[in-house]
Amino acid sequence: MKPRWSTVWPALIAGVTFVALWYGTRAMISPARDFMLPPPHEVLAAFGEHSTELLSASRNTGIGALLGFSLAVVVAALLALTLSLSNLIRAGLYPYLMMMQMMPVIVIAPILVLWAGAGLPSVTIITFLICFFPLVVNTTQGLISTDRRLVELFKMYRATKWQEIVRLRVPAALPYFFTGLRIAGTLAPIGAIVGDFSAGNSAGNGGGLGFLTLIYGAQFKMAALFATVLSGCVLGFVFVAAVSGLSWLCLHQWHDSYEKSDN
Amino acid sequence: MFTPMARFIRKIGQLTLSASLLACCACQKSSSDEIADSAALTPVQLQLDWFPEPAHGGFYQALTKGYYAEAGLAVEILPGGPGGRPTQKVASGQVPFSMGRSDDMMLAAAQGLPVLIVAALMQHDPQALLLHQDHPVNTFADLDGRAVMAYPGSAWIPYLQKRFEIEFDLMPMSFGLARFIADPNLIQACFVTDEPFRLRQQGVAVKTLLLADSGYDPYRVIVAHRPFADAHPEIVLAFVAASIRGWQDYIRGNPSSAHGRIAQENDHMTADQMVFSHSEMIIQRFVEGDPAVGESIGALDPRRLKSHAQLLYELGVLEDPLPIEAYADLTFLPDTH
Amino acid sequence: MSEVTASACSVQFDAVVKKFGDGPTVLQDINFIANDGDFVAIIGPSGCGKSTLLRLLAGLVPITAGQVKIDGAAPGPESPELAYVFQEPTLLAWQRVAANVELPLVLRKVPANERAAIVHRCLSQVRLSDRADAFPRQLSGGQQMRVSIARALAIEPQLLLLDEPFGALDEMTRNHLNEELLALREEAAWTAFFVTHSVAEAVFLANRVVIMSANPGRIAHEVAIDLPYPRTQATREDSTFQQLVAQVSSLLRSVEEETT
Repeated sequence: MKPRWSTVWPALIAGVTFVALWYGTRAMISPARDFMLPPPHEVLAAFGEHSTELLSASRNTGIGALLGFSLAVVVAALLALTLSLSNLIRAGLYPYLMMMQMMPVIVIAPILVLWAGAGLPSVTIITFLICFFPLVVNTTQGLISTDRRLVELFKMYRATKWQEIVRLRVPAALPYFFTGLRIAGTLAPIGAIVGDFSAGNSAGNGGGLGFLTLIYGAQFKMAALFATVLSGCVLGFVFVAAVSGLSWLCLHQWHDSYEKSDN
Repeated sequence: MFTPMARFIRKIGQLTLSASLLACCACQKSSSDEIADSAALTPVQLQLDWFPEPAHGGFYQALTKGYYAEAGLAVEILPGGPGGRPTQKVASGQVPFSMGRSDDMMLAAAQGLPVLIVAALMQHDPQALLLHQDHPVNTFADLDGRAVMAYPGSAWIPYLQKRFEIEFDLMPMSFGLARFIADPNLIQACFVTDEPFRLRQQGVAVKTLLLADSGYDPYRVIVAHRPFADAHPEIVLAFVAASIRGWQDYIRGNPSSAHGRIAQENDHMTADQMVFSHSEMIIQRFVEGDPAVGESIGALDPRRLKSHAQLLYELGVLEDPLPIEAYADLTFLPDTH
Repeated sequence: MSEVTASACSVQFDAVVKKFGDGPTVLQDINFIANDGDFVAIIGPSGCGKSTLLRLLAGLVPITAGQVKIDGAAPGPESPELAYVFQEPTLLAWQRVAANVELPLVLRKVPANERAAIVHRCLSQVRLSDRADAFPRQLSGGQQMRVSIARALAIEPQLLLLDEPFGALDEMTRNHLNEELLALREEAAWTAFFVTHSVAEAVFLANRVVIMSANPGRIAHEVAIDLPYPRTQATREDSTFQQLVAQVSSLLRSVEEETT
């Protein structure tokens, strides 16, 4: 897990190049239009200037994302288990799950707000919806992809169905589950931002990052708008890092995907 | 701002548009004369802030009655819609003219967007809060603790909260009235000239709280791309004069010419709706204002603009005091010449 | 044939037929009796149904006709303990070596205090006591196979089914493991069925070598291996051993020619 200099240097160079390109692009825009792309130092300054709002909005979005994400993990795990137990249920529900995965959440978000009310409940539900499907699909795939010989081994040792699930299918599905979890982890903050884009703020907390983009957009505060977007990136990074860390904790000792990165 | 190439492309676009219009409107004599010699006129574009509707009536009156052509302009009116962002379009120079609320233009100018208020479009903003008839909220002060669907970032929100010492939640605007009809508790922003009529037609009894009555009273304004105004003041002058003439004729004369064109451009606009909007604008004097305090069609009162900018500063919406030169130029108005 | 203890079991195939659905007959008319403590090596061309024979015994696939009897009774929950060793180690990747060996005991709900002692004994039998805390992927292929065998021995089986367990290993490792397997047999007797492709391995391990033919799978020949146990490296150099290897090889060749 320790970053190596050989991987840090290229990233640093790419970052510096990106900032240079940013300044360069701005320099090429005619002065009448350069309000569209505030320079990096103004965005940095906007971070300082609006730090209270940005922190509170990041916290609100983070809470919504975490709630929706957690709810999605629990429900998806239970549903995946149900789906893995019966070919019939799987055949019946799987096509609809795939269809629902294609559902444009951003379009139905306003309808959800109508049902669930403004604020956190809607943000949580929208995040849940966006995180749910990759988790269900991957986890179900994992639960039904258990090594056939191991299943036979359990059968020969006359293991109960429960023992087979707990001691074999669930741990064997963990790598698949974590694949889904990593996808869901990147989607959760996006879902929460899309959510409060439509769902607005709930009592007195000022709303989340999506709500803040609407305000800064309406007030033409471009640097603050960029700072809000970057805050969303940071939040996403925190989520992905947390999920990757968890995945590392659970898998690094035994799973091949972590070979040579450790021990 | 307009490179020769861009101008050329625009011209080609207009010619093809004219040709196709001529082809399909051969039977409609009224529109052919306004287009016939458009090639000799200076082409300019006006970006609307919504789908064509009577709130844009004066511009269509000026267009259809040939006032723009008389002023040497071939005006192309571009429809807007959700996410149309007229202010960004005029600021980036995609169009020379647009429209908006004076307070929004102050905010945009404060953030360095090259926009310039050149004339009033309406003396008072018809924006209001829309409620079901039996809703317990009757005054702005009653909004305390409620949730309002509006555009977040609008300056009237902190104004109401400070002036009436209230707190209310905000939901971002979603377009359409289905949600309002479904939820008897919903309070949402509207134009008094528009949504109440459509809802009453659906049998929904509604009431409104006009935001201008709260003491928060911006203009609706005509906005120019600032570098364009610097480079072509004569075009701005001509556009403002012809637009005001169009509005005067639309409000005081027969609006049918504008309404005919609006109906063509917007399939969802009905004759009843236009009659309602038109009469509402006249009755509530949104466009004309009150002559007793010096208000008239197109007029801008610098003192009113300054005090509004001061108000925005006091509300904290503007971070620094903003001088009038930063956002408005009153020299394009007819009275000052 | 060395010691035969009471803990081993007998196996009887009685006119066994196996077909998968409407497919061709995989096994036809299998009649065979393995006595207590027999080490039966099964050899034959690909597709002769060697593995299917083991899977029938383990109850993993149903029999189409005929019957199988273990200690005189049809296989069932009351049958003698049976362990199966696959060609691959087939370990739980997420469990350490000790927990893998312990698995059958946990599934059988053997009390925890008894389990530790058994795991300890089985790991020392396969000389892996020092790797008890390792994860499978940290072991070599041969070590993983030994864990697999230790796991099979943990429940003290009376019938051991080995389906080409050393097929993927190099010859040196394979010879080592063959000797270790026979050494284990000295400590606890079981009846064994051992499927292999290697004639030398079959002759070295078994007291009976069964040669099968394919399409459909039948028992073509049986060769008794009258070499004394314990067998060691010296056995491989013995002329009798080499003659037996030659005899089995020629029978296998004749069966293969017959098939093609």
